[in-house]
Amino acid sequence: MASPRATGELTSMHPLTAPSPGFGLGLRTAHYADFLAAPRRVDWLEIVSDNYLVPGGKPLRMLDDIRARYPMAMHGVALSVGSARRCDRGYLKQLAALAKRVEPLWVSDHLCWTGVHGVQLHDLMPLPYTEEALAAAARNVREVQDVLGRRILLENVSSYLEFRDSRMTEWEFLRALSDEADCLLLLDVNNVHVSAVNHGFDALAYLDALPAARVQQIHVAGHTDRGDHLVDTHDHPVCDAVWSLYREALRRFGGVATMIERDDRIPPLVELEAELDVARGIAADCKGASDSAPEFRAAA
Amino acid sequence: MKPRPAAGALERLQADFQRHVLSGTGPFIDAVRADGIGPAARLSIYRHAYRVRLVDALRDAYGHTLRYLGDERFDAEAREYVQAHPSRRESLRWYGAHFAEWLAMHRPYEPELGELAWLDHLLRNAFDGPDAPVLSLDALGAVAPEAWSRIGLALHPTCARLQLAHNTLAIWQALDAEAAPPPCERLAVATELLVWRRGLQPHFRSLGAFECAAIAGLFAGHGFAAVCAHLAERFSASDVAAEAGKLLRRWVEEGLLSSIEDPARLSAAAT
Repeated sequence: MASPRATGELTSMHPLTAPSPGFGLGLRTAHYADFLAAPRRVDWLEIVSDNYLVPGGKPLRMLDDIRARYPMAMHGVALSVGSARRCDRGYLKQLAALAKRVEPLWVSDHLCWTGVHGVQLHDLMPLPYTEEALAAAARNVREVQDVLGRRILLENVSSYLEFRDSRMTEWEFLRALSDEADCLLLLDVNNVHVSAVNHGFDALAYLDALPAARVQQIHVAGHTDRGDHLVDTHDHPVCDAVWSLYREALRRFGGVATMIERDDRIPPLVELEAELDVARGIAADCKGASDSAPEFRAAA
Repeated sequence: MKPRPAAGALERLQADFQRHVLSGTGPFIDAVRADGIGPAARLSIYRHAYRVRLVDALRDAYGHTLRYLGDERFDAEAREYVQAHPSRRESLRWYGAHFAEWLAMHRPYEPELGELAWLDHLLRNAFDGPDAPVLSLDALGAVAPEAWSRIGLALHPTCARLQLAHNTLAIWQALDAEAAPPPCERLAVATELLVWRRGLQPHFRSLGAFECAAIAGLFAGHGFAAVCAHLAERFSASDVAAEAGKLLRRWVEEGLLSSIEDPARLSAAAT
């Protein structure tokens, strides 16, 4: 695994990541009223940045009102850092303006591309893991970080195909990119599981290879089993296999900020709070079990 | 179109992948590693997801049109639109801006479809359109009598107009009340609608001929005196000053006006 002692020393001397704010949820419109009505058992919220890149009205009003009550992270879907071309400057400018408004814990997007030549596919398209793709992504991430004035987090996506041209694994690519661009990671445990099943790789080998000092946040989510493959639908409760992998991730990366990402068939907020308690329980187990283990970084 | 620099292998691969998602054609399938469920099945996941996502964006944006057509028919229309219109904006929020026009052009024998979709579209635009101050009665009362000849009134930036040649408003209202919509009919006189956001809520209402002419003058950027002069010419039988006064009060109460524009004050500020 990723040299825990060296990582631990690096973290304690010059931490790359911010202290964990605890256990969060994705902010969804169905829960606006709940978050405004009374304090909830949620430590922080993650917004989908793109939903607030609008001129005004209710979305921005709700954003400001809820931000006054909760710390927030910004999570985008359209930076397209994996594109052969540079990121769109206009989009980046809008994102920077939103970050000024929200003063987020951090800003994240995905290791993917979302379209080329002016077309948007609105999907998290996978990359070939080649030197050329690595250089393009590193250039794009550095440009984004220069504009935003902060390190961004990149999330691993679920994928349904692999490229003949790939010359390295996804985890080797992620590790190399985070070093090359000096960015942080948003580990989506569900996406690791979905891709591991779809491509037949070992999810634990994936976790072992990630640089612990750069893992700032974890997503857990549900998916759909289509029989011969899994689809990252985010419309189900988190399944046991993903919780097990989450436990493995915490054993490796310590008490990382964790969030449940539900995008469809949104249940009442109390159900998601109960699901968040499962994450809290696993984190408490891991902390208890590994108090003597040097690699477990406690949440601040 | 600006010439592009020569594409590298990554750019060609991404363009091929995109072409496959959009049209199912091209050489991309050969770039996919052949294992498990196989390249064709793997690619169809992306092609299918693309269509579902864009159709869902239209369902979300055109709620009353969806209710009117029903799931099956709406999805069929939406899929046809999606096939002809790749998305060009980063956010799905802006996808489908031409759906109403497309329905009007491609379904000419169901003219209520385009009108219904336009109304959905304008309400959606009002929902998250720009924020702006709302003019108060006090601010209106503070205008000096001699200033009325030169001031202009700025409408709230979410204001938009729509002309309905058919009984689309009655159809919309029936759908909104979850009642059976009436059959489509062409109206003897078209309905003029004004759409805007009041507080956080999109609103619309119909305009009579007098008010419609007044609002049209404001949209055109005419000063209040010029608007009144035009109304006096066109509606010579009515007491224009009294009617305009009533309208002003109503507009302020409904949050339709954003500010008073005084050219004298503006030019004074500029010097």
